[in-house]
Amino acid sequence: MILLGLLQKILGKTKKISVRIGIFGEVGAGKTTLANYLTKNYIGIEAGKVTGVPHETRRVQEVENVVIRRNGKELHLTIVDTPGLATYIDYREFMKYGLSETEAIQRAKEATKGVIEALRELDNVDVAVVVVDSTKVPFNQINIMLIGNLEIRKIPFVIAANKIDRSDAKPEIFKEVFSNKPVVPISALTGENIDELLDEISRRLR
Amino acid sequence: MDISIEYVTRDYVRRQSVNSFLGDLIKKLLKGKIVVLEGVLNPSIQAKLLLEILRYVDTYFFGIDFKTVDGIRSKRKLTIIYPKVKDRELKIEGTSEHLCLSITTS
Repeated sequence: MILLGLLQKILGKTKKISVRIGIFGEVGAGKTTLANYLTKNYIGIEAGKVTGVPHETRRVQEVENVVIRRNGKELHLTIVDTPGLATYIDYREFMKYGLSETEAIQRAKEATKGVIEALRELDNVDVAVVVVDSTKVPFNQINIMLIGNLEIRKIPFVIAANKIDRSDAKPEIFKEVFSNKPVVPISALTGENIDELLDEISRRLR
Repeated sequence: MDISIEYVTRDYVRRQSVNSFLGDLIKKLLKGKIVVLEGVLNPSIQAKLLLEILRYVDTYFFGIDFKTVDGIRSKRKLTIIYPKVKDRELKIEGTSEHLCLSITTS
């Protein structure tokens, strides 16, 4: 493989791969921040808006033609940023962020549709990045369900243990708990280890 | 308000098709029942359950929540699936050998 990579470098030949990459995870894990980091860096546009209010991303957002070169491969990515997964949506939570009751009910409706869209998107991606918040506990129902569904569907995935820029982050716990799965500690905010994440993704693509 | 808890054995689940099990489970949850399931819920069934049940979310019924509890002396697991509703909070403590469900209503 190393020899092949070297030969490809010398000859300037790279393998072109078109990939639909899904960014999944629970609410507030940093999916849109990661999507934005990738799309802004490679094609100069943002995938979506990031605010402190939960369920900001309520529709699947796609950015096409993001070209990344890794390990002798030219990846033509369609980045699919999905709404945060949740098992329930309590409209009263949004009122804590200053939304009126009517606005909160509307947002809850849209967020619910978004969760359904995100779950359906599991059938449409070639590879997935499971974004987890490394300041929280690894075992929650969403992470277990998500990883289980990717395994059942045989979709290659990488776990991005996000928010390592925070002092309370514990990415080593995720590495320990998911020891038989690829875990890359990252900061989608600062870009730390994003290259390692891309390397890990490209290794999973034929 | 009536609070009902149903215990579902692994054998009972095995005897049903996925669709009939899911349909039955959804009916129970929409009626406000707390379901204690022997074992764990397969991730693909969890996803199907969510896809179905989230269609019923409104200003009273917010969806569902799950929790799996382990045993200390046995390997037996229990999964508690319950509706998240406006006027009821459920706290789950203990193990699969000694489970405690505390329900607060408002």
